Order: sequence, then C-alpha cells, then structure tokens
Amino acid sequence: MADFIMNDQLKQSLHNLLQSDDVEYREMSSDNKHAIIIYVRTVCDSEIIREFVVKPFWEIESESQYTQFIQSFPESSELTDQAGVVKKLLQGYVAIFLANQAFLLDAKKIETSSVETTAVETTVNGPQDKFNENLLISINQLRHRYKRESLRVELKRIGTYSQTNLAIVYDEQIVRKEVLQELKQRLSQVQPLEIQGVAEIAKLLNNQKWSLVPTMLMTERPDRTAKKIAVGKIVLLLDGTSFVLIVPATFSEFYVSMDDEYQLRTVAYFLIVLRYIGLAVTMLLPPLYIATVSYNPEFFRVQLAFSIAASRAAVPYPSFVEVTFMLLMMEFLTEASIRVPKAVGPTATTVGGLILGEAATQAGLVSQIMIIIVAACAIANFVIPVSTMSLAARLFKYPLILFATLFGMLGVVVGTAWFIAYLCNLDSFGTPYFKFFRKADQA
Amino acid sequence: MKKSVRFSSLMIGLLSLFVFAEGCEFKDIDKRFFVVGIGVDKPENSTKKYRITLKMAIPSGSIRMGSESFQNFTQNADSITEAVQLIKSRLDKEADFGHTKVLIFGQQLIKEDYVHPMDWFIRQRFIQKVAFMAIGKPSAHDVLEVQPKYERLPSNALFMTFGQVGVESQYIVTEDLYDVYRNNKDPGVTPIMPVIEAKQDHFQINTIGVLDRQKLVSVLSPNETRIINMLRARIRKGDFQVSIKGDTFMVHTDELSANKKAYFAATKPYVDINVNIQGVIEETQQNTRITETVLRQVQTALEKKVSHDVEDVLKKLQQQNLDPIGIGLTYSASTWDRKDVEEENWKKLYPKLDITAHTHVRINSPGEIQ
Amino acid sequence: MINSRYYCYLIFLTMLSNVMVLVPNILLQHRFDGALTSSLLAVPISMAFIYLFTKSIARFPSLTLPEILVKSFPNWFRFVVTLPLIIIWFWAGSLPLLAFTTITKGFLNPEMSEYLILGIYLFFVSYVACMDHKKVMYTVEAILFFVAPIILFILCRSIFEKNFSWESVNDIITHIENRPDYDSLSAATYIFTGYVNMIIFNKSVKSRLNVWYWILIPLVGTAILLTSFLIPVGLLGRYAVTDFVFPWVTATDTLRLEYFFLERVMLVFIMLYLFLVLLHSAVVWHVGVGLFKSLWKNKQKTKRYDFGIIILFCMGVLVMRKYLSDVYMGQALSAWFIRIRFVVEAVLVGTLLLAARRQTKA
Repeated sequence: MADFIMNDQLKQSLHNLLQSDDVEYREMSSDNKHAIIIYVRTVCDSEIIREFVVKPFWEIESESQYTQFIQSFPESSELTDQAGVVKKLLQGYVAIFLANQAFLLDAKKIETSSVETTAVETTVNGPQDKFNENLLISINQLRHRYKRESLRVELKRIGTYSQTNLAIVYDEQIVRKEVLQELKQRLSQVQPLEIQGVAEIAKLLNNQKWSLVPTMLMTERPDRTAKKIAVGKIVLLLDGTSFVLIVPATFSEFYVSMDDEYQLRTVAYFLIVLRYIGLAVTMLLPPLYIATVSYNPEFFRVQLAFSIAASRAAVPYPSFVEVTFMLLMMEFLTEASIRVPKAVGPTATTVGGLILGEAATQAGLVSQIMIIIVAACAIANFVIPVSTMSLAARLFKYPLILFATLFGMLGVVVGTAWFIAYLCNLDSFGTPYFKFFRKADQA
Repeated sequence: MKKSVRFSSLMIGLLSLFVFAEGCEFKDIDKRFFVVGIGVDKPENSTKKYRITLKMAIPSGSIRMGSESFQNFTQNADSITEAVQLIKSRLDKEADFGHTKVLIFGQQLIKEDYVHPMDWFIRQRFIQKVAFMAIGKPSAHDVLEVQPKYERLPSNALFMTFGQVGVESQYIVTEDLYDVYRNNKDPGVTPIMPVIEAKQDHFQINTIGVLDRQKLVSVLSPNETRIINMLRARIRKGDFQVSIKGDTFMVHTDELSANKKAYFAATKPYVDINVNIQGVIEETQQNTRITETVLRQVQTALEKKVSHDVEDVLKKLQQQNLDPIGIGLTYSASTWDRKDVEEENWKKLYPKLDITAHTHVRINSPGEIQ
Repeated sequence: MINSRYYCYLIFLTMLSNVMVLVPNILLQHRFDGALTSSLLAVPISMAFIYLFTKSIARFPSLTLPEILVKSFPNWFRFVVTLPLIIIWFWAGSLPLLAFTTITKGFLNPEMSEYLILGIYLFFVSYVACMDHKKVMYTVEAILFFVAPIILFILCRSIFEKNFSWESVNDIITHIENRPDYDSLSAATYIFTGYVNMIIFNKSVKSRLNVWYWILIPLVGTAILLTSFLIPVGLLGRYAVTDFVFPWVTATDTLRLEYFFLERVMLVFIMLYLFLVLLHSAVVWHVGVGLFKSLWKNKQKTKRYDFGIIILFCMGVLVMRKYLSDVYMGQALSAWFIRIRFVVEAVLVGTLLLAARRQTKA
C-alpha cells in the first residue's frame, strides 16, 4: 500500500540511510489504515513523535481523519519533493507515509539546555559547545553539524560488565574501508570487563604496549569531529563521557587547534609553527642545558658560558640532578594545579612559583638559568592544543635527558634522531603517523 | 609477578646507567676554569724556551662594568704542553680551552720564532681556529695583565676589538689562528699580526708586524698599517689627511675597496693596485670654503697621496721579500703552470716585480657646510 | 608504491652526507692535479649511470635486485652478484660510522670511549635499518627536512666569509688542464652514488624520475661536489688544507656566527652532520640487510632475520674498529673502498642493463 507513494530512487536512498543504527523505520497498521514513519532518532524529539504521530494513529479511526489531523499542524507539510526527503529527515523531520499521501512533520530536537561549553579545548572565535555525556545527545550534536545522508551510525555494546553504549560514526562514501575493517576487527578482539572513558578504548586498541605518543585523537569538540568525518575519519563515541575518539590520527593533527580553522590562513600557519617550536623547546632545552653545561661549555657564547658558570657556582650537585630536581618540582606544580580544588588553585601555584623561583636560587639549590629553562619548558609544553599530546610531550624530554646525561651533545642528536625515526615508524590504523607532504602524495 | 620483575630490572638498568655516567667524564661548567687567553713569551732569565701565561676567567655572579676578575698563571717550560700541565697542578678545577680566543706572542719571542709555538695551538682541537693572534708589546704577559675599567668579562675588550663587533677602526687588523697558519704555509703570501701595546688600563692597537715563514721581520707604522688594512679590503671605514694650498683636509671614507690586477705575461711584469675611495670631507683646518673646484683639487691630491703611500709600503715590503697582501696568490691564480713551476717562477719574479697603484677618489660632499 | 621524490632523497642524502667524510680528503689530495677535471667529468658519467640504471629498473616495478636476478638469470648468478654487493654495502655503511666516531671523539666528546660512541650510533642505525622500506624513507624525508636547510645555510655562510680566499680557489681552477685520475674520479662519482640503493627500495618507491629531477640532480650534485673541496681550500688555504686530518671539520671551525648565541659553528656542524651520516648508514645497511635476506628463499622473513643480520653487521663494525688502530688506516681503507666501489657500481649497472634487455626480448 505504502509502496504506492515511494518511487525507486527514494526507496534506494532510504535503504542506504537505514543502515545507520539511529534511523527508525516503523510500520503501523490497524484494521483500516496503514502508515510508515521514518525518522532519525538522534535528531528528532521522540516525545513529539509519540504524542503527535503514534498515539493519534491508534486513537483516530479512519485514515482520512488521521490525514487531516496531521495536516492541521503548522509544522507539517505534504511530501511532494521525493528527492529532498532524506535531507529533511536528517534535519529532524519525520516522514509519514500513508496509503496515497505522505507528510513531513518537523520534530527537530536541539539540545541546548544540556550542552555545556568546552573546558579542555577552548577556542577564541570558534563554537563553544562540547559533546554531552549522553550518547544520543552527542550524536544529535554531530548530526546537526554534518547532514550528509551517507553518515553512518553503528551502535555497539562494549564491556562485559558495564555494557556501555558505543557508537561508530563515519561517512560511508569517503571512509577508508580497510581502516574501518581493521577498527571493527580490533574492537571485536578486545573484551574488557568495563569501560568508563573513551581513552580506555584507545589504550585497548593500541597494538603497542608502551607507546610514547597518542595515535588516536581524543577531542570534546563537535566541530573538530565533524571536520574529521568530512575527510573520511572514523569517530568513536562512548556513552557516559564527553570525549570522542577519532581514528586514524596523524602527528600533525595534534598540533592543530580549532582556532586555526577560524583564523586567517597566515595567522594559522604562524600559530602552528609556534607550536612546533614549543615542542622543540620543551623537549630539547633541558637536555641541551645538561649537554652544554657538563660536556661542551664551548657551545655557547663566552658571555653566556660565564654567567651559567657563575650562577651554578653554589649548586652542589651535577647538572643532571639539578635538571631532574627542578623538572620534578615543575611536574608537581603542574599536577597539583590540575588536581587541587579550584578555590585553592591560585594559592598552590603562587606558593609553588614563589618557592621555586626565588627561594631555590637563593638557597643555592639551582642556578638562575635553570629556573628560566624550566619555566620556558613548562610554558612551551602547554602550547600544544590537544591535551593527550600535551601530556605526552611532558614525557618526551626525560629519555632525552637520560641520553644527554650519558653522552652529552651526541646523546641529544642521537636521541632526537631516534625520536623522529620512532614517529616515522608508527602508524595509526595503516596510515603513516609522521609524514611530510601528505596532501601532495594524495593528489 | 612478571610485571614487577620486569619493572625492577628496568629500574636497575637505569640506575646502573647513572653509575656509568659517574664514571664517565662528566665535568660541570662550574668545575672548569676558562682560559680566555694564552701568552707565549721568551723567559728573561731562564734557560727554558718559553714563558707561558694562561689567563683564567673567574666568573662572578653579577656582571657589572669593571667588576671582572681573572688570574694569570705563568710558567717557564720547554714546551707549551709541559707548561700547561705544570699550571694545572696549581689549580683546583680543570682548565678549559674552549673559550680561548686570544693568543699572544711576546715581542721578544716572535723576533726569533713563532712557528713552533703555533704548532700547539693549531694541533689542539679544543682551541678555536678563529682565536685572535697578536704580538704583545712589551710582552704577552703584560698585555694579559691589563684590566680596562670598561671591561665586564675577562679579555672581553680584546674579543670585542678584534671581533669587530664593537669598534671598527682602520688601524686594527684582525688575524685569526687559521689565517696566520694558512698564510704561513702558502708561498704566495706572508702572514701578519697586529701589535697590542699594553698601557696602564687600556690597549693600543695601531701597528702590525709583518712576518716571514719563521719570525717577525718588521713592524709597520700606523699609517702603513692603515694602507695594508685597506688593501686587504677587510675594512670599509677610514680617514685620510690631505694638504693643499696651505689647508689640511680630513676625508672620511665610507666605501673603500682595493683590487690587484697583475700583468705577468708582459715583457716587464707588473702589478696594478686599484683603490677606490668614496667619502666626505670631515674637517678643514683653515675653514676654507669648499667649492666644487676645491673639492676636485682635494680629490686629485688625495688620489696622488694614497697611490704614493701604497706604492711606498709595497715597495718597502717587496725589498724585504714580504707579501702580506698576497700578490703571489694573484700570480698563481692567473697562471696555468704546474704547481712547482709556479712556485719557482714566483720566487724569481717577485723581487723585480713592478708595482704601481691607481687610486680613484670620489668625495660625495663637503659635509654639512660648504 | 610511494612517490618518486623519495628516490631523489636517496641521491641527495648520499650527496650531503659525503661532503664531509670520505670524498673531500681524496679530492683535496689531488687538488693541484686532476681533482677539478675529474669532478667535472664525474657529473656526466654519473648522470649516464643514473639514467641507465633508472631506465633498466623501471622495467621491473616493485622488484628488488635479487628478485630481478632470479627472473632473468640462472640461479647461481644470484649469489655471484649478491655476495660481493653485501660486502660493499656493509662497508659503505660502516666506514662513515667509523670516521665519524673518530671525529666525535676528537671534537665533541674527547673523554668518551670510542666503543661507547660507536655503540650509541649502532643503536640508532640498527633501529632504522630494521624498519619497513617506506618507514625508512619517511625518516629520511623528515630528517632531511630539518637538517638540510641549516646545513645549506652554513655552506652558503662559509662562502660569504670575509676571510674566504677566492684567489686560492682561482688557483685550483687554473690547474684544470691536468688529466683526470682514477682516484679523484671514483671519489667524485661517489657523491652521486645514492641511486644504487634503489636495488632494494624499488620494492616500494617509484623509480620514474620526472624532468625536474633530471635537471635538479646534476645541478645540486655539481654544486655539492665543488663545495666539498673548494670551500676547505678557500678557508684553510690551498697549501695548508691537506695538513688537516679532517679538513671539513677544521674548515667549519673557521666560521664565526656573530649574531647568534652559539660560539663554535664547528660543533653545530658536526651535530647536524651526525644526523645525516647516521641516516645514510642506516639506509645503506637497510639495503645490505635486504640483500642478505634474499640469500635464503625463505618465504616468511620475520623481523628476527633483520635483527640477526644487523647484529652481525654491528659485530663486523666493532671488529673493524678493533683493528683500525689509527686515522691513517681508516683513510686508506676508505680510499680502497671508493676505488673498488666504482668498478662494482659499473658492473651493477651493466648487469641491470642486461637484465632489462632480456626482459624486453622475452
């Protein structure tokens, strides 16, 4: 009966759409009437559909009365343009197919009350919303930013005990099939007892047990996620957390802030270069200090060498102890200011800063130059916009410090070269992790 | 269980690495004495060959003008290595030569020999090849003892002077260690070194000593120094004095270039020295009004004077068989003979080579007033 | 298959990493004789080699040399070609490492044991050599991207040094009439020799070079070749230059960067070159491992094979280090390597050419 109103093209596109797990297709038939309703669950308000579409269907007796009832809503319109149906559905309309008529009813749900502003990845000019801890709301947010009909949502449950809802979202037309295949295969291999945060999945999916850098991008921003879907990446959304996981990820993606997309191109490039310099500073400054101070004092200008020598004169232990001590202090301070309750926060940093900055040099525990290096190192670290990478970068310097302590300048060079080789050797779901001129190679 | 074993073995591994580091040569910057200058003299009353002075910097926390501190250590010995080892026995920290940038030969020593002590400098990898070389007057030790009031770091005054970071003077010639060495080895050029005269609390550097392959041969006058410096095209600024019609004009140059053109194929081989000078008049002594004609006259007079000076200096040096501006190199660079043939020919050719100078002066303006 | 620009990186890497260690010593020895003539002659010869090699290997897309040999020649021939090549490749990777160990001990870490220095080098080289073909190429690209610009800056800076003696350079040029000699010629062609690594990398790198690369390679090669021995002449003097054991290291010590916080350019230069030399050795050994592995016809070649072969190579270097008691022996060994290598390179190109001929006939 209902087939009457649908042409083949529409059927085909509806069929495609239905592969998404959040698209609902319901057939209802009573004695004398028959209806099909189609809607996308994550963008429609189920309340509206229940109250104004489903309930009346059973309460109203004849089909013509039901038709009139539907028509009476100002949000409803008769479905005439069959090609546009899918688009409308994605915008939050319900399609109601009756025997010889079809209607579209606006049942859009926009989650505003429960959507919070970003806390970790803040931008100046960009959108301020972040994902919700409710999976359906998060998909709703995503669907509002990405309305292509080839967007697929696959729902899964993960965790034997926790049975957490997991959504795999991707654009079917541009996603790389082998990546999707591998992701699903790896997902089916892991059987955790319980999963609470999306980063746990990242850890489970990672082939390497000890990895220095994140190979999956974790973000809380719907806009970043939508942009990644548009270039064929796959998104993992987990119920109960506002962070999502994007695979595959490359090294450079961790150095792009969403602000770069909303700025002038020149400004954006400047900012990106700045972040890489920040990475170099935070990684190389402490080891270079050790290498020059302890092995090759002729590396620096004579003035600089003398002032380092003078300020180190009171320090009773070798340079690597000084560096390790100071860096530890700095890590304590960073950790403390993250963990401490917000009200006490400023006190902790002020006291810490005061003690580290002034008293330590006065007491002759560390040299003044060291304070500058540690401060530069700490600040440069936080220039990296994605928190997982920023935290990982805090760790990079320690192997290099070890190398510098043992081998001096030589150690710094070999350590850096090894680090670059290590990055090049990684891949994220078959995509090379660290590679230059990626765009040119794709073209 | 397995995890903890692995972890503890990792920790033990790391700790042993640090023990290893202790065993290695891990010497912090504050455990080192920086030698900023080395002086080599001839001892006055000793049978030893050299008297070595090491100038050690003592870094101090606050860096203010005139607050620098250093200590000089002297030692008589037959070789520099021996002297350095003997001086080290008097120190509590390791002597570090990485920042040694001034190498000074005493006047008495260099009159006899500079090649043998230089061997140590050039052979040591830790001495920078860009260390400044100079002749110390009256002795290298005296030069290293001078403590200018305006100095913040030990020997910084000399670093600044020779590095041409600070002052730029037409009398100051900079010669680096590698420069002296390469000129000493090259038959087409002879090395020079600036002479530093130690005064009460400053230095005077306005002459150069011209060396042959073994020792100091002659010390040039300040004016000759200036000419040589100009011909080596290492400096752009300078002042020239010229007198005409009872007045004396000072000309300041801001563009100075010199090149040599050699005509060795001619029946009587000769070298043309072309000097180009551009500048302004800085001072007159009789307040002459400088009209266009006067300007032209000053130009021609200066041209004549400079050419004359250049020819004078070069001919004087030629008689002593010295060639600090490298006419021999020009010769080699323009002939196509085999290397040994070139060397032989040049030995015979240089003493009778004709040297002419052509100067082109352009005075751009008479200064702020006419 | 990845872009053919990686093929070019192989060539450029060899060019840059040999500016400092093996080649200039030999060229400088012959500076008043045939060095310049040989260098200029080396460019067309090498370009002809590269052309023939590229054309031949392009007929065998995604095949390594041992696979090509199996395809076009009887089975025993494979061993005849591969065995000497393994030795040559091992040698090519270990000589710069040994030379650089001496340099770092001399100028960077005088107090450290040479075995320890060599050990840390071998750590990096082994790590990279055991990676995938593609991953090795990505590493090459990444490190070249960081290091090459700074090195080019220092090279340019040295030409504009105030004390650079252009007349010394001119004098060398006036000896261009001399006949080229085999030693200089083989040293000069070594600059271009990076292309031969394609015998293994052909597996995953496209071997077709476009016109721009054909223009770029000879230009850059000539420039590097001339820099390689004319800059030390200009800085250290035409006579004194051979007095130095490592002319290039000393030459960079004559540079002064006035407006920077660094004191000795030499240290920076050694550090940058360390990147290139290590990378070059890693690439060369990667090829060596690839050749070695092809000796067995075992289908499942795991990482373990790679590690085993690399450990063998490392032991080889340590043994070499043990018996090389002084600098002169190392230099003599390099000189012999460069002489032999030229012949082997010619034979290799000839073999490939023959293989390509047979391929078209069949």
